Order: sequence, then structure tokens, then C-alpha cells
Amino acid sequence: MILKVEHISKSFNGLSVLKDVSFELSEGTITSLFGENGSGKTTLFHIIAGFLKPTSGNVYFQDENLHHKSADEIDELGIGRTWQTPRIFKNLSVQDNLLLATKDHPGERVLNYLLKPGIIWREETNRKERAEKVCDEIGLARKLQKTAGALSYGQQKLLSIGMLLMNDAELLLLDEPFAGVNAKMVDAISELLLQLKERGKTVLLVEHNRSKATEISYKVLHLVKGRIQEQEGITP
Amino acid sequence: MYAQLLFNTLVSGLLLALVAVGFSLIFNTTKVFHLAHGALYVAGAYAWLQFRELLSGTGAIIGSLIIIGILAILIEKLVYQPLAKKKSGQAITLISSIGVYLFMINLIALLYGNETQFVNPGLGSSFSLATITIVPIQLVQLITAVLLIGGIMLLTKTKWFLKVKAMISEETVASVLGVNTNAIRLWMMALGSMLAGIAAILQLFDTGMDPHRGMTITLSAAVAVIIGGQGSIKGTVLAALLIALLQTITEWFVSAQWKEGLTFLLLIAVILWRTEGIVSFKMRVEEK
Repeated sequence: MILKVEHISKSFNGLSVLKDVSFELSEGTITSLFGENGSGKTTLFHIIAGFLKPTSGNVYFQDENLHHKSADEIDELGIGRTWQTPRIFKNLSVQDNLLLATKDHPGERVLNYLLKPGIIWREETNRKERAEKVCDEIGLARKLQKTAGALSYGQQKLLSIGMLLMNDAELLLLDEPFAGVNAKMVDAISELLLQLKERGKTVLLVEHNRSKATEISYKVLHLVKGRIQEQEGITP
Repeated sequence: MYAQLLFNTLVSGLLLALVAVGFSLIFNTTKVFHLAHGALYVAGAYAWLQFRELLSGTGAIIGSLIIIGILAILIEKLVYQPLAKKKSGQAITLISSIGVYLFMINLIALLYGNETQFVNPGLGSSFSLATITIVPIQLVQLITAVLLIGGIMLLTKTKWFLKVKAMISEETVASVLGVNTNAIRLWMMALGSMLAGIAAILQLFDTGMDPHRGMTITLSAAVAVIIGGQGSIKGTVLAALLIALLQTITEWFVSAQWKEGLTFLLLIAVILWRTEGIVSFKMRVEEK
């Protein structure tokens, strides 16, 4: 199991949003999380990604308890998340967005440009090649140098998934990847998710487009008034 | 005559560009309309005047830049950062910045007086190049400004500055990706203010300095940043040169009193023509 959510409860000022939520995700699967507005889906995402701490319960990623980890540390471990509205750097190019998602570049220390120019050049070349590859995977191959703000809404969603891939995320938490995009783009995104699954990535997605999400999911979870009801799906 | 006017414009434009690039680095990262930049500009020149009593020429410049850097960091730590943490609006930070400006300028006037301070740089007499008469300090101003602006342009190509650009674009996303936005704010405050400090020292060697010169040049710099567009260093430098040209033409053919007024008319004209400024990014209409 790549992710284990055990007895998670969360209250805000006495209002109980999540009640004893438990489930597990197997490696290389897609799971959909459905629920009405206010059922606690986003709160659950926030807890897994470390933006919120649960009132009780634990989350384990590859058997490591995430309780004392910050959002940044959880990101480093390999859990990446996207947001309902794509959170990208709209003034920067697609390539720069992808490069920013990678960590520990020697060029982050300006002095290294004088001390280790060769290392920086090699690292930069490798990362740019990788950005190109990821761009190809997410179907934005010809948009590499385009300003991210000039992309369509659906393409911006693809870019935010690409940023998770650049960061080598093993578990992708996707918040409504199909929302607000046209049918063609829904197909492109679901095709990408299936390809990622084939490559061993695990995806948990929150979605309102139930038919498309169910179609590609191995498992479907229903969150009703803060409690989870699990349903097995069909592996596509 | 025109060649001479153009040369003078180039030098004064590049000096304005130094102040404007500094203002741009600070404004775009902190989102503070940092009018106290004018006080740090003046403080740069007065710090040099103080240090030259103790140190050599270069030592005095380094000493005054360190002081400017420290003052900028103090302003950020004691005023801007606490206001940002409280999520104060831009109007409040602007008023606070004016407050800091007034405090510092009054303090400088109290300590050194209101009269203009002149310094002879001791660089020898002027010389002619074709029809242009060049004063040696102009050459120093020109070379220093070109080197510094070039240096900043190179800095913007580094991986470190990519993080600054990310912060300028979307601060929250940048911090989620582990960008230390507080550290970047401090670096930009220090670096931007030092650029203003150097411009002030160079100006001191030429036309002298008094405590009240900071506001005029800061307002012109702010206009250059807005006209330049969306945090573009290149755009800011171009706009500064354009403003300097307009100010020279106004001074020469109309009256020096109209200099600032026409600068703001230029701002209005450019904003009406291109809201996003001279240099802008291609965006979808709904993203603008």
C-alpha cells in the first residue's frame, strides 16, 4: 500500500468535518473520491498533503507517518497535489514552470555560477531535457516556450500535473482535474492519467464528473457527511 | 547640440534606470509602493559623505552601501513584513512608506542641514569627443550604470532569480513549492536600495545632493516601472531612458518647471495606450 489513511477525524471550532475516515491506496492505481459540496473532500486532501493537521488519526505514505511532516516535507517525500483552479506561474513560460517544480538546483546559489559553472550547465541541460520530455507527455510539446498564462484553462491543468511529474511525485492528489474543461480536454487528461497509472504512479482524484472518473478508476470512494463509503470499481 | 543633449540624456537616463530597477525589484516582490526608496537614495549619498571622513574612496562607497542595505532590511523587518503578516492593504503600506520617508529625510536634514552638498570628484577637466563635451564624472556614471544594469540582467538569468520571478508571479504557489519568500523580500530590499544608493553617490559627484531630492527621482522611477511593465527590467530601463529624454526636451524647449508634470502625462498616455506597459507577456484576455 502506498497510502494508508487511518481513522482521520477533523473538527473546526467543534464542527466535525471528517469522521473516522479510513482507506488505503494501492500503488499504480487511480481512485476517485466523490462527495457533495462541503462533504470534506478538500479537507481530506489538505490533511494528506500536510496543509492541515487532523484532530485525530494518522496518514502513512510508504509506511511513513506524515503526522509531524510539513507540507513542504510531504511534497519532498513524493506526494504532489493540484488545486481546483490551476496554481501555476502565469507570467512565466511553460518551461520555467516545469523547472521551478524541481528542487535543489546548484544554480540556486548565485556564487556557484562562478565556482561551478560546468555543474550548473550540465544540471540545467538535464532538467531542460526532462522538462521537454514531461511537456511531451502532457501533450504540450509545442508550448514549451509559451507563457503559461496564455494557455487554455485545460492546458493549465495539464501543466499543473506536469509540474508534479517534474517533481517525481509518486502519489498525485488531483482536485477536480476535469472541472471547467471541454470534452476533448477531459479525454486528454484522462488519457494522461491512465498513462501515468501504467507507469506505476498512484492517483487520487476528487471529481464531480462521475462518469469519466469512474471510467478510469480502480476504486471509487464516496464521502458522505464526513464518513467514507467504499466501493470497488472496475479496472479499465 | 543635439548630440550633446542625447549624451546627457543617456547618462541621466541610466542613473534614473538604476533607481528604477531598484524600485522595480522591491515593488514587484514586496508589492509595497516603496516611496521610502527616495530616503534610502538620499541616505546613500549622505552615508558616503560621512564615510569619506574615515575611509578611502572605494571603502567609503562599500561602507555606505552596507549601511543602505542594513537600513533597507530594517525597514522591511520593522515595517513592511509586520504589515504583510497582518495582511494590511496597499494604502496602509503606502502611508507607512511615506512615514518612513519623512522620518528619514527630516533626520538627515536635522543632522546635515537642508543646503546642497557638493563634492569635487577630482577626476580632471572635461574633454571633447567629436561634437560632445564629456565631463569625466559622466563617463564614470555611464560605465557604472551600464555595468550594474548588465549585472542585474545577468542575475535575472540565474536559477535563483527564477524563484524571484515565481514569487512575483504567484507568491502563494511559490511558497508552496518551498521558495523562501521572506528571504527574497529581504534580498530585494537590500539589493534594490543599494542600486539607489550608488545612483545617489554618482549624482552627488555631479550636481550635488540635498535631503529633498529623493522624492522627485523616486516618483520618476516609479513611473518608469509602471511604463516598463510587469516587472520587466528591460522595460524599466527603456522607460527610464524615455523619461530622461522627455525631461531633457522639456527642460531645453519648454521649462524645467514642467519636467515632472510632463513625466506624469507620459505615464497617463502610456497606460491609456497599453495598460500592461511597454514590455508585457502574452496572456489570454481573461488572465490580464
